[in-house]
Order: sequence, then C-alpha cells, then structure tokens
Amino acid sequence: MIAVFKRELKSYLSSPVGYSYLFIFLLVTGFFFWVNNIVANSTDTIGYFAYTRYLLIVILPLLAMKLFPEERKNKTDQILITAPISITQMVMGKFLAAYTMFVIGLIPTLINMIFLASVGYLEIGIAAGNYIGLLFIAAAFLAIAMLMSVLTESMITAFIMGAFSLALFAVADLVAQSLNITILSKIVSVVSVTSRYEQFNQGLFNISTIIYFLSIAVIFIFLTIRVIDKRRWS
Amino acid sequence: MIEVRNIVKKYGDKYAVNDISFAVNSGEIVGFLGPNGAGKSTTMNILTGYLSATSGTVKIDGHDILEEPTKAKRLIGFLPELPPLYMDMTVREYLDFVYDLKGCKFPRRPHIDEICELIKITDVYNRMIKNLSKGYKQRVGFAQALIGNPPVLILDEPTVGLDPRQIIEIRSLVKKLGKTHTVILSTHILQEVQSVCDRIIVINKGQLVADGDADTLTYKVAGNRKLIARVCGPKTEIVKTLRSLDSVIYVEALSSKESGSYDYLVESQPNVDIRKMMFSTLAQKGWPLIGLRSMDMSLEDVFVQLITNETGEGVE
Repeated sequence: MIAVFKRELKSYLSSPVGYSYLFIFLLVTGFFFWVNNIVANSTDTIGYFAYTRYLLIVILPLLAMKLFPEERKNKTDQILITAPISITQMVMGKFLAAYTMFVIGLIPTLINMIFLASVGYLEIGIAAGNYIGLLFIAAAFLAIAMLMSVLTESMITAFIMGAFSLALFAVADLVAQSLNITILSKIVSVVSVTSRYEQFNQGLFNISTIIYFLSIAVIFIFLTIRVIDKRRWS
Repeated sequence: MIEVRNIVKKYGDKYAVNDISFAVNSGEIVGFLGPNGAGKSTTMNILTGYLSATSGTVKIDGHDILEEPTKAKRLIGFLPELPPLYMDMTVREYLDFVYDLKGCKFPRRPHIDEICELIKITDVYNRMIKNLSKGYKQRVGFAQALIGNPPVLILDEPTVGLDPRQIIEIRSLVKKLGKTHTVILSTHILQEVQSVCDRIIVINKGQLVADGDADTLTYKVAGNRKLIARVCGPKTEIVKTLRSLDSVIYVEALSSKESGSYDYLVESQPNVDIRKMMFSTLAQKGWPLIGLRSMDMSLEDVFVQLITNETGEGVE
C-alpha cells in the first residue's frame, strides 16, 4: 500500500495535474477570500467556506481522474494487480495519495485564517468546524469521484462524471425541496450532503454527521474495489 | 511448480480459453505457441492472477492463485505483452517502486544493481522511461519481472519489437535464467521456441492442441517422408517408374524449373530411405537425377498443420 501511495503522490507532484490542482485550488480560494473578507471588510468566514465547499465539486475530480484511467490505458494496472498486494491495498494507496494532495492544498489556506485573526476577531469555532468539515466531506467526495474514474479509460470522462455525480450529491437538497412527493424527498434529503454540512458551519461536531461522511467514503471505496475485482471475472 | 487444471475463460458466450490443462516442472522452459488471438495472453493473465478464470484452477508451487493470491503472486515474475511502465518515472524510481510493491527482503541497492547489470540497463538508469527506445523499455519491463528473484517467470512475447541483436540477447538471457527459474514464454516466432524452449505447448482457438518437445511434435505430425527430385527425361515414364518403386506412396510431377528437366514430389513411407534406390533406378534408365532435396517438415509446417487440423486428432 505504501509503495502505491508513494508512487501516486510522487506522480501528482511531477505531473501537470497535481500542480494545476494546487494552482487552481489556491487561486480560487484566494479569490473567495478576497471577495468575501478583504473587499467586504469582514471576518465572517461562513460564506468563504460555503464557496470553498462548492469548489470541491469541480476540483476534487481533478485529483481523482488521474487515479485509474491512465493505468488501464497503459496497462500498468497489470503490475499492480499481479503484485503480491491485495486490491484493497492498491485502492487505499491511491485514495490516500489523492487525499494527501487535498490536504497539501488545504494547508496554505490556513494563512487566510491567521491573517483574519491577526487583524480582527476570528470565530475560531466556525473556522475549526469548517476545516474539519472540509476534511470529511473531501474524503466522501474523493471516494465518489474515484469510483467514477475506475469506470472509464478516459481522464476527461472521469472528470466530467466525477463532477456531475458530486454536483448531484450537493444539490440533492434543492431537488428534495422541489419534489412534492414526500417519500422521495425524504429519501433524497437523507443522502444530502448540504444539510448535514450546515452543522460544521456552526462549529458543531456531531458524531452522526462524521459517521455519515465516513460511511459514504467507505461505501464508495468498497465499490471501487468491487469494480476492479469484478472486471477480472468478466 | 505450475499446475493448470481445466481452465476456461468465457467472454459472453465466446471461449477465449477452453479447458486447458498442463503442468510445468521446476526448471523447465516452456514455450507457448499459437497464432494471434489463440488465447496465449489470456492464459498467461490467468496464470498470474490478472484475470480470473471462469472455471478451473491454477496452482503455483501448491498455492492457488485465487485462494492464496499473495503467496502465489510472490512466486511469479510477470512481463506482460505491453511492459507495464510508468512513463513519468526514471528507471531507477520505477525499479525502486517495484521493489517496494513486491515487498522485497533482499538488500535494495545490490539487488537492483545486479538485475540492471544482467539486463544491461545500467547506462539508462537515471533516464525517464518515456524517453527510452522500445528495446530499452522492453528490457526495463524484463528487469521489473526479475525483482524479488521469483522462481517462476512468465514472459508474454518478450522479444516483440526488438532488433535482431537484442532478440539474440534476450533469448540467451532467457536461456540463462532458465537454469535457475521455471519459465513460460509465449511467442508466435517459431525459431524462438526452437532455440530457447525445452518443451512446446501449442494453443489454437483457446484449446491446447499439442504438448511436447520439438522432435516429438514433428514426428507426430510429419507422417510420410517427402522428397523433391529434379530429373531430366520423359515426364510420364519417370512418374510411372518412380511409382513402381518399393515403399513409394505417391508421386506427382510438379513443374519445370530448368529446361529439359522436371521436378517431382515423391512421398515414401516413414523411416524408409529411398534415395539410393531412386538414384540407381533412374541411372539405369539413363535419366539423370540432377537435384534431390528432402522436404523435412520444419517446425513451421508442424505448426501450420497443428493449427489447421481443427480437431487436433492424432496429437495429444
């Protein structure tokens, strides 16, 4: 697992994909910060984090799209699958590498918080809650986008499918509200990410919310493993 | 060392591999032979655990590839048809990665250096894989298979796309490795099998059509002895005379390649040499025999015969 993790992380850092991700993530979050806090002359970070959360929908598929399509196209998956490691170890190695990239991108944004705290009053609870929320929501989102990337041999398709399915998850609330059928809207709101996330926004830690995001991650990682395993049989 | 029992691989309702069984002993070099699309690669992918067979079992040194995949895979070095190389890595990084992936216990640097020496890739050690020539890429793929010193090597067309000199090098390398390893290599080049392998397994349309060494296969398939004789003289009478000889089964006038002479195909029973008799008979009649060559079946002929003989009758 560690070998796959190391290779994958190194490959992010030696390829345009990794740097584009970091560049876009920092540029756009920087822009959000500029508009929401600097220009508005405010230390309220709720808007900033809300935008950042939506950014994840389009930017995490950038990390996930690289994980599997290229391996299949270049047949390098042969060395991984015939190596004496399990498919679970291989998938976890890849997932953790992508997740580490997300964390690497997130760290510099702490400067924004430090800046706010130094020039005015920063609500530490909200900032901390949101950072923790981002860490969990990103795990869930990455797992979903990873499943999309294992289904195709094209990076572009992986990206589009990833972003599309994440967007579906994120807007599930709106869909739920617009549906007049009670049962359907209930089901949809159960899987909805946005309403759950609100709690982090208030600086609240709810164990069930954390379990919710973790179980999404686990389910989609599991599905990814199953897809790879199933492919050997068909 | 390798035990394959009744493996079947179905894609939809099409059989890619249909009930293949064989066993390979420790230290053997076995050649997998078959036309493109015969199921060679599929079989190898099943042996290495990349694909799972629809039914049947594969055991590597007693470890089932599906039930104890980690133990079985640790024993195999696999060079797929397309070497599984990461283009964005240097040779050094790549081999280091494979070393970690296989969880090797040998001291890292000496082990990798030794393999690089053996495969002759030391001079490209620090270059990016994407910038290497086809021959070097193939060799890096080979090096990857050797890391961890697995006792079984499975090589899928290891010499494809190499220049003649490199082919000779790789062949002699396989021979050398065959002394200490169990090797299965697939190819559709017959000379390769002939020069490298102890044993040949012929696969066609997903089925095993022959299994044995080159001589056995030739003997099984060859049947009658065939000669081509070039004789000056009247065609019909020569044919008649030749037909009257003992042990001759079939005579056919072919064509005239030199003026005044004709080529004749003469088939005789196996294990009978009719050349002396033929010469003296023709000489008595005053028809000079100006050329004679035997049409020994080359492995090519054997191969063609095997794969066109759909039922594989008469062959194990």
